[in-house]
Amino acid sequence: MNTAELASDVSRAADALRRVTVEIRTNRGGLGAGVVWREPRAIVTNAHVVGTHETCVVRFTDGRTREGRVVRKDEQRDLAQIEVPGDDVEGAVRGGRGGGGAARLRPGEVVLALGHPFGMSGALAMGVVHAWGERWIRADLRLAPGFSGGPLADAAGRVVGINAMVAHGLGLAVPAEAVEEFLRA
Amino acid sequence: MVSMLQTLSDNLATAAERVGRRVVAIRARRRIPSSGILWRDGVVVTAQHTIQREDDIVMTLPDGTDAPATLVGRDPGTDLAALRLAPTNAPTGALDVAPLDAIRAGSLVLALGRPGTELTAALGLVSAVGEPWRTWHGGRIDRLIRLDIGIYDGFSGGPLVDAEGRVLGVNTSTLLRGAPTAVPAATVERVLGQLLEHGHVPTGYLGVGMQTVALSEQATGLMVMSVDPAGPAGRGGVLLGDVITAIDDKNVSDPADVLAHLDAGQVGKPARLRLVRAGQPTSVTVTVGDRPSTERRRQR
Repeated sequence: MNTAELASDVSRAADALRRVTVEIRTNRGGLGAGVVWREPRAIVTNAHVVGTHETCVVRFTDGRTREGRVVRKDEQRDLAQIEVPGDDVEGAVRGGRGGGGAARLRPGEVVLALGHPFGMSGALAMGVVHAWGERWIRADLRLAPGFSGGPLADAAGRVVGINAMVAHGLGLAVPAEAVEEFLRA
Repeated sequence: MVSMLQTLSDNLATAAERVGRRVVAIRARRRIPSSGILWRDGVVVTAQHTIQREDDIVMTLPDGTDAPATLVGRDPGTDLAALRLAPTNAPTGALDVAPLDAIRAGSLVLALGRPGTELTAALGLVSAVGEPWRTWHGGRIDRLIRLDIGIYDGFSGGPLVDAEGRVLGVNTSTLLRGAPTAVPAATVERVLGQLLEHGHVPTGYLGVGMQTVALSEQATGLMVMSVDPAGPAGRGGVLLGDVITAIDDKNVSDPADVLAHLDAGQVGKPARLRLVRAGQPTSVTVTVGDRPSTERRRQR
């Protein structure tokens, strides 16, 4: 196995994820991440990132900032949908293997997470799928505050979930299927 | 085009899936089950410290079914235990075990577990491979394998697997003061053989408590501070206050020297102790016994 090639694969996947990951800031200074979803078209983050706010500031990877409006929220699934006028970023490629998506994730599979820990923009974390569950994808990777709402992707850079929290050292992500169900509800 | 990262990912997931077919959940303690590996047909190896009750042990097999299991034996020295499944279970075939010298610092490894019905995986590195060592419980381990890996529910008793899907050892969090380590497969094979044969790992036993003392500026010995009167040394005539200077002509100056000499092969054999008694050199020959377990000692 060629390690130089492996390293460039990781940075290529990180670049692709950065293009679809936004920063979300509320007027109380909270900072989280969000994902530009392709189908259906939306910006998704965690409900706990926007809290009780109705608006937030969305910063795209090219530096543009726009005011976003929270249009839908599901506290139980920890998801929120944000609408931004005139957003033209091409959405994330969703991890879907024969429609299986997260359902087909196998323990040991490599996963990547992108977020903004401690204000550090577009930071990458890499690990593996720890276990798959209906409600959460549990991942063995090191997350920190600021990864919330950002993408969890497979080794091909396809988004398989939205990172939501850390429990007992494991990253918990909402599976992509649940995100789509939420957006279509 | 499939990238190198995807290939790595696929290899790791395939390794987890392959070995995962032999990873079971063991319900022998309160709350969260521990993990075990179907090492041979009908025989499961796990971390000894996770077996907190010896009756009513139930395993959850990889196919999700529950099966009763019985404890074959345990060895606190290496933190290994062997359990037997009902003989009706289908054969599992030989385990793909990596040779001892294939364990290298820097290798990518997976720790697999089954703390319930689902298989779990964690990725990490072999951070160091050391010499053979003796644990603080006296167990002999063929290599010290230090791991840089997350310890999650079900870590102890699960297999350490390399990227090719070979089993390197059995994970445990208790032998290195809470740090993750693995007992190498070679040690597991050796201990498992003894557990299946004797139900425990026979360890040579003299039945004395010793402390290092200086005999002169150059020489040190081991003063006998306590004697088990029913033990081999007590029956052989060793007295409180005797200073042991050699066993079978090997000088001893630390209790660890005695332990090292009393390994499994010595049980039942005579050992000649060179002593200093009341200032005079003398010697006694004792028959090395089999160290009773803490429980068996308590019953005496």
